[in-house]
Amino acid sequence: MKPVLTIADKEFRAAFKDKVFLLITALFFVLSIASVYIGSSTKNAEMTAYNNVVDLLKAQGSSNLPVSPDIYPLAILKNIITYVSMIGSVLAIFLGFDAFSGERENGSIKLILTRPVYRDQLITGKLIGGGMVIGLLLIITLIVNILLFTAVSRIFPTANEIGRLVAFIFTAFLYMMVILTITLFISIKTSDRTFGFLTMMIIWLFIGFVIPQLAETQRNFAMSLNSTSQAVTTVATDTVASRIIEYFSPAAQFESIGENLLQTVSDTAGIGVLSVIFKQAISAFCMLAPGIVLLLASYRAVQKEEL
Amino acid sequence: MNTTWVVAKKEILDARRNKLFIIILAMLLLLTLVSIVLSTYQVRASMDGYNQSISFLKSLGKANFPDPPKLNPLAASKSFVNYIGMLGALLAIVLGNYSVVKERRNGTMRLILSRQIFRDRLLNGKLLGNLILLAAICLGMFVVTMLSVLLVGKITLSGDDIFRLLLFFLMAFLYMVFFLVLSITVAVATDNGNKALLITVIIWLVLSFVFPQIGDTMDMDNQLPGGFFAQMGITKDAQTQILSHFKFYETLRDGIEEASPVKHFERAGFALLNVKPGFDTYSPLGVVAIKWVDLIGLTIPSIILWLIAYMVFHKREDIF
Amino acid sequence: MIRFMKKRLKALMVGLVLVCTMSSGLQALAVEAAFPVLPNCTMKAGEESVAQFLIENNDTSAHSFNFKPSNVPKDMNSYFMVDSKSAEGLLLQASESKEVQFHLAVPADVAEKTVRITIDVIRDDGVSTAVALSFTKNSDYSVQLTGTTDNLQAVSGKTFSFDVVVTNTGDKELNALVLKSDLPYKWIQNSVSPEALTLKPGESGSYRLNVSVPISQSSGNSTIKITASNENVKSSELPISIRVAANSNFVWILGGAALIVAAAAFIYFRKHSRR
Repeated sequence: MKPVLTIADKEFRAAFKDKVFLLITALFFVLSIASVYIGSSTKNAEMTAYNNVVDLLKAQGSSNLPVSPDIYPLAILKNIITYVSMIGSVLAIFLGFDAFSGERENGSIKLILTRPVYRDQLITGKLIGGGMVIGLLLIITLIVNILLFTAVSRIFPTANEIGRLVAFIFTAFLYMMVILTITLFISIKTSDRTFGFLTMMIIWLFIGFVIPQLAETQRNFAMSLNSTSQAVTTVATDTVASRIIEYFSPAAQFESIGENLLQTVSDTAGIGVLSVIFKQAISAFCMLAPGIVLLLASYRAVQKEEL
Repeated sequence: MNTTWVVAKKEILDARRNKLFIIILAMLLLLTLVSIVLSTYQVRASMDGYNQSISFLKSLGKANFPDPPKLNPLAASKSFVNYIGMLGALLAIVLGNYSVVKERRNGTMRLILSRQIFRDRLLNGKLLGNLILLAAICLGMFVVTMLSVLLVGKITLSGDDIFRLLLFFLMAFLYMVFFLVLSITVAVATDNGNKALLITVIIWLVLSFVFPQIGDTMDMDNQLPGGFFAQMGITKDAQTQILSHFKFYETLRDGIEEASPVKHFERAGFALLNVKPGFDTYSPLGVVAIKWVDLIGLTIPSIILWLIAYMVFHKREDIF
Repeated sequence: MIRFMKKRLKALMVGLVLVCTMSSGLQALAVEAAFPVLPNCTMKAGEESVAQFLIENNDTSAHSFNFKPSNVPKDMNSYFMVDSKSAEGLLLQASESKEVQFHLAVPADVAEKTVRITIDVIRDDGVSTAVALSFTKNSDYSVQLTGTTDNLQAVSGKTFSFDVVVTNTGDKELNALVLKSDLPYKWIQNSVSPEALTLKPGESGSYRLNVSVPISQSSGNSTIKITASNENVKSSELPISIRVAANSNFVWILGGAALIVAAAAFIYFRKHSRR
């Protein structure tokens, strides 16, 4: 166990010494703070717009007032889902892309393997080290977001809302660990770290954008008529094809779980956090499956490969 | 000019040995094909859905019907433009970074600069070679797209449509040139090739994803499906009264979006391919004329970055 | 009244004819055309007119009935309603009757003075009868809108003005005629002058609208839809196409930055020799 922790400790410290990593981390924090501000100002704008129209209708003597928009507190934070999906993924890629290929280029991997370290301990140590970095960043994000959320909205979240936030941060942690695991596998398999990094970027583009957009093309668009405004709008509905395509994208599954946890989906906005987790079990499985498979493949690869 | 051309030729030949470039190029061509196939199916499904919706609206006595969906698969969805935007930018970044980093890594930078070649000519040669490569890629994609629409979508494009498609790939070329120049500039300014690549990718992420995402988030109407005002049943009269209070908000949001070359590429691309309605009556050059701001937005930043690259490359003593 | 009586007689004649031709003792279907909801079958330009008729199943068994209009002008939409729901047919039990409403959407620029429509009511066994309806245009109140220019241009982030001419094409005076505009998303109407007009028959007037285009409006064509209305009449929608050009502030900023960098590069290369 000691070699594992030593490797993990080394990964943890090395991450915070890299200027580019610190730059990405700063961007991540800035965006997560900005998401609270943007979300709350947008919600405030919606409530102002609603109050304006109610005043206008009352002044005109109308009694047919529109229903107040459902604004759940945690929905203010919804933009963080996108930022974790984007910047969080890049952060995880950055942590892992030169884990093996970089050590290979430096020649330090041969040195490590002359020590009494099992090959699988090398992977475990790097995973734990990366996990510690990701975990620390997300815990700081969680605390900062709760404080900002309380300061901006002036309401302290309830136990259910805190539970949902914690569950969301944990899901974000698992998602970023999946990306880290995939990146570690690519790093084992490629000899050049630039090649490994760009390969991982392409994979990220696919799971983060291309697959969800392919799923989008398979959705049905029905037209709905709003009875008050008489506006005809199009509403997308999932089809079997679109759902199956989305199962291949951990990013899409993470976003789905995140949206349900952060009260942006009206069906699950009011229920308990455990019920939400239960409902999202399949999405969680689809999100974790590629990570688990490639983790096992990584263990196998290091046993066989000439590292 | 001769030295510039020699360097350019070498860039073109070296690209064949770049595995990543080949992989990304293959993916780009494959995705172009896939998006057209899927869009064709989407067009057919949309027509069925549209006809059902018209019947529904007629049964309610409505006489104003929405426009029918477009039959051209290129106009059916935004994914075609988005794939080229994402992978095209990555391709250009790879090319730009590789063109500078390979010289350093192989030790040929010292060799080249010990010859009678001005530094700006070396840079010009690298730019020219990569521009030719990107132009060839865009032309190749144009041919693949045309053939796919004809054979898979079974739609014959008119002369105007073909010209619009060609202009769209010109916009795509200008968009990729921006990222190529950005990548070369950052590679020239940084010591470490890997670091240069990471910085370029981060800039790409911020410009291509973060800024547009912030712009979308700040638009109230994107917060609810079907639109905020429509969902709340707010009539048009009330809507215009409310919007008069949000002018500064809109200016800020627009400013953030304008800073992203992706937005300029999307606006010009959607207009040329008729993804966004309202441009059917314009001639292809008429669309370019009306989108001149987006054209400027794609061109001038590249020029600015190139001048910076000249100065940095010229100044650095430790460029080797 | 006479028209109503004629319709009733005709239906009965049809019924009688049907009874005569049927050998199996099947009862006829009886269709009575009631007076429409409005005091007389009038149609107003730009509004929906409704006529009602009753379908009675005098047979001993249940039957389904389909109804189909014919001679509906091409520029008019129509539909049927039974029990407040849209329908193209209904099922009636023996001795049951139901009211059917025929809705006719009349365009604002309707040319015909009288529209005659026949409703064919067809029973499931092929027995059919026809109901004749006629709608007469009320030309007391009529208004027409025209734009003053075909080539309107605007710039995003700025305001622009345009005129609309309104003409009283009816027989009576139009009081308190107001303009209503349906603007593209985020556009704002700052003012309309005058706020209301009064026009004698044949007289024309003009409105001037001032509209703000949002800074986020991308360049291209946008359409404003204008209607004029008062308590008696509503005009057809006048679509006005506006060509929006992008705001050039961004270009000035970018051009300025390019000039600064170009100047810096020029000075740099003048200062240091080329190598």
